[in-house]
Amino acid sequence: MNNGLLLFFGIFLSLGGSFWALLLAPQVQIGRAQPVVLEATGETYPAPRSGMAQQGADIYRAQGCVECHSQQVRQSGVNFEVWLADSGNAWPQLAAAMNQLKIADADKLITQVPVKLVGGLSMLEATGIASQLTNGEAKAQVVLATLGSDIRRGWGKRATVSQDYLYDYPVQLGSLRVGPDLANYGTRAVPVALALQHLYSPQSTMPKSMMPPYRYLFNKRPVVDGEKRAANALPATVEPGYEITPKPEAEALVAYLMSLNASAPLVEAPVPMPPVKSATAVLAAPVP
Amino acid sequence: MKKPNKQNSPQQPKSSSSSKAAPVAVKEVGNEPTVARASMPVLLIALLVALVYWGNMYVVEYGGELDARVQGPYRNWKELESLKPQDASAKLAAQGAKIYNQYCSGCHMGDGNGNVSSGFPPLPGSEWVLEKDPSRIIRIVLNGLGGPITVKGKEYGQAQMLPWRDALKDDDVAAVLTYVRNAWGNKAAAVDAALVKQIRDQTADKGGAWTAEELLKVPLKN
Repeated sequence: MNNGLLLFFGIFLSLGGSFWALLLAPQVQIGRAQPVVLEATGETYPAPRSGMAQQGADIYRAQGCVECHSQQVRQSGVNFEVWLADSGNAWPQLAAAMNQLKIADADKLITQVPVKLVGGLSMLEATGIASQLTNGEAKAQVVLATLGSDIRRGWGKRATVSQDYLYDYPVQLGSLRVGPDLANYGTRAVPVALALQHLYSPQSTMPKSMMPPYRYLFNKRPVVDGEKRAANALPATVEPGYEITPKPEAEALVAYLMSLNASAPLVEAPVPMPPVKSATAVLAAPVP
Repeated sequence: MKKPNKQNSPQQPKSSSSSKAAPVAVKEVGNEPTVARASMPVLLIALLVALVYWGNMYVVEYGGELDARVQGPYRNWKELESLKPQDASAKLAAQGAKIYNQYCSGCHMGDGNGNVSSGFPPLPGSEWVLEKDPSRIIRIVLNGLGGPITVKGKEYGQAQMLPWRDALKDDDVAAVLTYVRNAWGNKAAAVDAALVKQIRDQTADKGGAWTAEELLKVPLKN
């Protein structure tokens, strides 16, 4: 060992370098992230979970949900769409302008505002088209469109970013997708009763589901005919003759699932915001 | 250390058959074994250089310029900034604001109210500015305006507006007018650069500034 010092420094440098680049630098960058106030709504994002949902996060972890479900939406890029937000008063001129831009069914589209006219454009192309159609009262708008297979599947409207996981510990990103991604489960408007039933008997709500049943998260007892079922019992059709009520664990797990929502419009992850129909647009539309 | 020394083990017939390598007697060693310095293979150096280059390019490409706010499919903060929702007329007005502050605010003032005592008419609420068809104000910007003009029922007279035909391009005129038509509580449609070009061509041989009377004769399409 006549090169001990050289070896030591070589090893120190490689280990120290990767420790710095992979652990310390990200910690410096996002280690002290704080909730932000959303520009669009003025709400603080993310909001802390309720106690029940927080307990549910532990159940989610204990039951190994992360083995089959991911909580990250991937996005491959963006492109732009042109939407007609307001068709104004001069419909013939607008239709002529749209025809000139080779937009089919101009006359029909004008009556359906807000409506998407063209998609798959670059920012420059979209701005050009929008400015040509924004004349007088008519207003065309450039709208962002997020792209990617996860977004096509309806798992989210934007990529998930570090801010979404601020209150998660540990962050349960998941790497396998035997089941669907759950990053936006809370936005899917699944009734709590249905979510509970899915936990008890997945195939009863989703015939082709590969999810194992989590029956031990429920209490089961036979009911005599005519006896009243508990208010939170699963529907009698799930297992006739039995009353199945969720244990607190199941209720906490569902509360956690309902709290999953990574759809807020963040600066680092913008979401598509197509124009909404305004009352003035409805009133101002001329009678054709 | 744990490996049996093949050359010395008699149980291995194959190794003993290589009689060229005579069994080495273990000599008494005084010092630790040392390694002589050897030059690195050129191929390895090339591989390392290529690896470092690739690593650097990867960080440049996907590192988001080391900005923590840049994530996902986005390349840098500038790209993210450019994605903020804005419609075409808002963009035009933003460009127009710059031009206004550079060329117009000297007389019309930053708040657009002009200077009554010097005869610079106000822009907010002005019927000339808010006219649905902007072809009159486009003419004013291109060739300037002289003589008395009535704005919001008040007469302004002694000032002369300069022509901006050569200083401002078509889209500059469209931008600044879009800004003026949408700033300080004004609300009117955006001005199209194509219309500016059309009027510029129409009025190419108009010498000198417009007067209010001449402008009022310009037909408005509605």
